[in-house]
Amino acid sequence: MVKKFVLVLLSILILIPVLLLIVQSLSKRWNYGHLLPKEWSLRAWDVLLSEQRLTEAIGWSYLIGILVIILNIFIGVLAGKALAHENFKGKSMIETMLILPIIIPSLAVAMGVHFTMIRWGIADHWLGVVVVHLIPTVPYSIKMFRNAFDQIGLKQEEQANSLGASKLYIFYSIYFPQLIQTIRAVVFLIFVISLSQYALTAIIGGGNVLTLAMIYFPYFSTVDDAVMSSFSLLFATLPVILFLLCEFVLRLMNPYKRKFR
Amino acid sequence: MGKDLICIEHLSKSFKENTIFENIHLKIEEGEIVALVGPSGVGKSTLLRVIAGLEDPTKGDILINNKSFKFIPANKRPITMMFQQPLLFPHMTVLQNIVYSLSFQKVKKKEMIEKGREYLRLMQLTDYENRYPHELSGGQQQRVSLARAIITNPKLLLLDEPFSSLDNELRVKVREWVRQLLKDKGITAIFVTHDIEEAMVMGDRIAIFNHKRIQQIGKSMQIYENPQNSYVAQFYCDGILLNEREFVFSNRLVIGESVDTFYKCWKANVKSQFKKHGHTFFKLYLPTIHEQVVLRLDKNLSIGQEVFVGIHNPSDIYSFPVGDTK
Repeated sequence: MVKKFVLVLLSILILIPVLLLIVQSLSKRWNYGHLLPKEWSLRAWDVLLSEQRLTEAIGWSYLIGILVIILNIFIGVLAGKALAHENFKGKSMIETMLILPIIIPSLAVAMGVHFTMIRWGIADHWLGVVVVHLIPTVPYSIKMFRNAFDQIGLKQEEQANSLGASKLYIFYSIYFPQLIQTIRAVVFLIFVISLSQYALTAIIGGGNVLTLAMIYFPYFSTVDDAVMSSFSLLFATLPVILFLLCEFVLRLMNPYKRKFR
Repeated sequence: MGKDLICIEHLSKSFKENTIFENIHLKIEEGEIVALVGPSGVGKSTLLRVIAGLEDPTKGDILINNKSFKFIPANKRPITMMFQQPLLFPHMTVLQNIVYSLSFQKVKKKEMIEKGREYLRLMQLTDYENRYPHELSGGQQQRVSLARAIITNPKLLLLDEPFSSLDNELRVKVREWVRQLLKDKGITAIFVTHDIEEAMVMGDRIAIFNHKRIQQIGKSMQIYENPQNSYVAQFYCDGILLNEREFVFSNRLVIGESVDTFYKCWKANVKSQFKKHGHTFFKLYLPTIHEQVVLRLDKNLSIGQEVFVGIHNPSDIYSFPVGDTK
């Protein structure tokens, strides 16, 4: 009964805002007090699709987002495993330092990082944007992977090792299938964070790197609710598509997706 | 008996300044089960972990068929360890768990499944092939864990108190079944336990482990009747320790009302009484030598009663062949 109630409540909380956005994006005039718009129109979608740099921005957003996710998984898995299963000097200090990027405003860090990037020659370049997107994302992935490794424990690895499995095979057969839930959450969260970065992308990209946030945010200054809604819907669709893609890849890679027949 | 298959030589392990065990010598014949028994927390599990390759030894070597395995990583050793917990992989079915070690070898899937099913039959778990570990009872999980370990056909199987999480009744059943299985398969094994009775049932030979080393190794009755030192006598045998060199077995002790009939006797208080295997046992405390002893008596004593416990002849006192090694 409680489960059903929670399910209904969650559906309402998610479905109603999405439905409202859809209706709003298709409305021409929707006055206060009316249940539905008086007039319907595809104008907002026309405006959105006529934006010349839209496909380019979506492409860059995906490329940067996917690279940020891959780097996050790589760093998160390694650091999370070390923090969960290894004991070394200065472990708590390193843990605190890894959380710092969330505590200190990203913009303050980005200013300092900008100098280094100019020196490395990756400022005003998509590579620089990928690196700077790691600042607000990596602490979350490390924390999430650390918790996941903590829950799995070290004993299963020792057992598999004693049964003859190599480190790499242990990761593939023991850890990876049990990390899928975490990977799923990391992919979604990190992509949404990366996609929403306006200031960091603008500073490091120097206007040369065009992501969806770069063309979406200026629309905030307009008072056109319908266009804003259509943009928001597009913005929300991108992570969902990536999530589905990720689900497909994870299923393909999972060695224990089905029972032996 | 056959020739020695496993030879553990001068094996020592320390964590910084803390020595866990030192100078361990142990030779095991092919197909033999050695029960390593000692109190909890003395380093028995660490010894197994070192033999398995999960920890590096500080000194010493492990030889299998005269080949050193000191520098060989755990996954390349022909040794499989079974831990206290079943440690089944939760995302795999029972069958997938059993054939795990075959999944990274060049074994065809069909062959792998057939072999897995053979072990399922052996473990009497045929109906559980596609179940997940959380759907099994503790005893069933341990059987799956055992199947997963022995399917690798190890030269040495290390069992680290594998039945400690099972209830008493189940433990008694499972251990006899496991011993028979290991014997049928001719598997050489080291079985660690803190339970003396379990060690006696499981081991062809018993190694008493404490104070960082093996105190005595031999057949269970041989150790029981001829303990080498006061520690072994106190831990493994029934009786009272008179001093560091002398011991009296409980079967030599008699109860009397007066001191005149004894060669040597001690005052004792009856602490408790219990029944086992149709006999009455009394736990007595001997305050003068601070010893406790359990005696099987046919007469009736009441709790708190004072009696005399003693021996009739000087030959009833057993002297240790060597001094205490503590």
